[in-house]
Amino acid sequence: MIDFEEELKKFHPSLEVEDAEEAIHNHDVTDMMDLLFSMLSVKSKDKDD
Amino acid sequence: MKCYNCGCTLSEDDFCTACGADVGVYKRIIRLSNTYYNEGLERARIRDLSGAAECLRQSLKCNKNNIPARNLLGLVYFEMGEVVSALSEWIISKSIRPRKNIADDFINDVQNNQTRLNSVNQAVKKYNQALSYAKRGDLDLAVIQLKKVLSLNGNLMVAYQLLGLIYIHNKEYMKAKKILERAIQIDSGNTAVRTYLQEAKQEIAEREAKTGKPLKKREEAITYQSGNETIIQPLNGPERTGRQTIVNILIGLALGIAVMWFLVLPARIQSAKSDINDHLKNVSEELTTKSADMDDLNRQIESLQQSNDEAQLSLEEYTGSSGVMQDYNYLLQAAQSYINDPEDALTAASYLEQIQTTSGNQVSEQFLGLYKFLDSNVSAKAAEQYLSSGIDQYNDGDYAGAIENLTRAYDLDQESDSALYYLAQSYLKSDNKDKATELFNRLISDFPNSSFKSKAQRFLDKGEEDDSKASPEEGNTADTTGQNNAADEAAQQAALQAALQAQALQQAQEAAAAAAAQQQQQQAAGQ
Repeated sequence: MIDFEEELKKFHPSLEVEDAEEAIHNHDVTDMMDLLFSMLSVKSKDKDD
Repeated sequence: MKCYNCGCTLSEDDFCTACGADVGVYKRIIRLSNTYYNEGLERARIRDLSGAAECLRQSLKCNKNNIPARNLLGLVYFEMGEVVSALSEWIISKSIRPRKNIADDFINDVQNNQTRLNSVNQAVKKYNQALSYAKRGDLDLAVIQLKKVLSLNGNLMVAYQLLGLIYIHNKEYMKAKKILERAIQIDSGNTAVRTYLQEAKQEIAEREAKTGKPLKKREEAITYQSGNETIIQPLNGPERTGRQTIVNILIGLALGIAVMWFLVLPARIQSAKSDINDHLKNVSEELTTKSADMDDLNRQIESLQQSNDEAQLSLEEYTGSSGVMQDYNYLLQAAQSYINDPEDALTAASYLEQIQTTSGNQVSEQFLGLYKFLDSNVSAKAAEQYLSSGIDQYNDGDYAGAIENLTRAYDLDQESDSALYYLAQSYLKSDNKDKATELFNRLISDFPNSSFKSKAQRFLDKGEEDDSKASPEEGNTADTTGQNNAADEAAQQAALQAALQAQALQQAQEAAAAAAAQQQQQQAAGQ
């Protein structure tokens, strides 16, 4: 049996056209590459030290 | 694949041959991203849009620069009705790779169709409002709004989900089933939709098991508001198929043709007939006018023909063999004959006999004067000569010739009883007693003192015929000029003849001039 309230909580408002600019601006584009490069940079810094 | 450090093309080794950087992990991440992209592409092809979106997000989490994955994710969002999310992905894609990026075309297609963009935006707003209604507990309002949303954007999956959930909550399982089945058509891999649909089917099956018959739909029509209009759509309405559309078109054509045939065509025909009748009327009037003109012209022709005939007749009177001009010729010939030989009275008299016009306005006064002159001077002599000839022929027994000459003599001289007597005798000798009797009676009545009266009377009373020889000296027409001297008489006659000749010549000249003038006048009138 489906719980209406619980299921209803899963629904969120959709983006409107006016909100597109803000959404794009706040879009998190960090990917695994960025994590890798940050890890490599930390590693190289430690090595220098 | 290019080195993240120096940008050179990488080989199969796990290090860059140019800068020596360790690219082993880098390569794995790239491959993983591509793997997720392929998986997402496969799911998108079978319309598992939710699964495709999840895989593509994973791909982008591995490599944010995976442009194909980002573009495809935008497409998936667009197909799911999330237009703004789709635009976001394409804009980010374009910012990473500005050139030779298909995201340009996608963005232009969306932005160029402002109407659709506005309707999509309206749908999103209404969905958000419906969601707030649902969370507030106003499920009826939420249903109305969601129906409007689906009419504006029929691909918005979240709207289908929410509406299905509400129907299930309201225990309207058939509606829920129907709406969720429509959602499955769009996104077959959506787990929430599948879950709700399974719930609805299960509940339907349980209820059918309880009642023993299929559930009936509570409503046969959906009522919702679209702007200011209330739209009532029957649920069991027949689906429009292509064949039915063609049939409807044919029916419409048939109705149109029928309307044209029975309503429009008769009016057009009537109008055409009316035009033809008007034209016919005009032509008839014109024809009548022309006929009248023709009749008038025919009458004019007849009148002119009559005038022409009259003119011809008038001209004939003057120029014909029995015309006035011919009379002038005869008169001139008579005058010439008399001038040449006054003693030849017979010739002049013969010409005078042929003259037919001796009075009236057709001849001039000169003509009449000359005619009278000649007649008075020629007739008596001619009568004497005819009488003499006739008597000679009578005595010779030529009674036919005698009748001819004596008749002329009597015509010229009505006072000659001798001519009359011997004419009667000639008829008697010719066995024409009736004519002879007539002439004898005339002699007795016209000449009571004539010497021939007794002879005539004896014939009439007793039938005695006179066989004696005829003598021109008998009767009243005997020479009464007296016992004058022959020489004096001859001289007087010569002088008289000279004077008469001069007078005849003058009158002939005047008559000729008048005839010429009149002939010219007649010719002018005849033209």
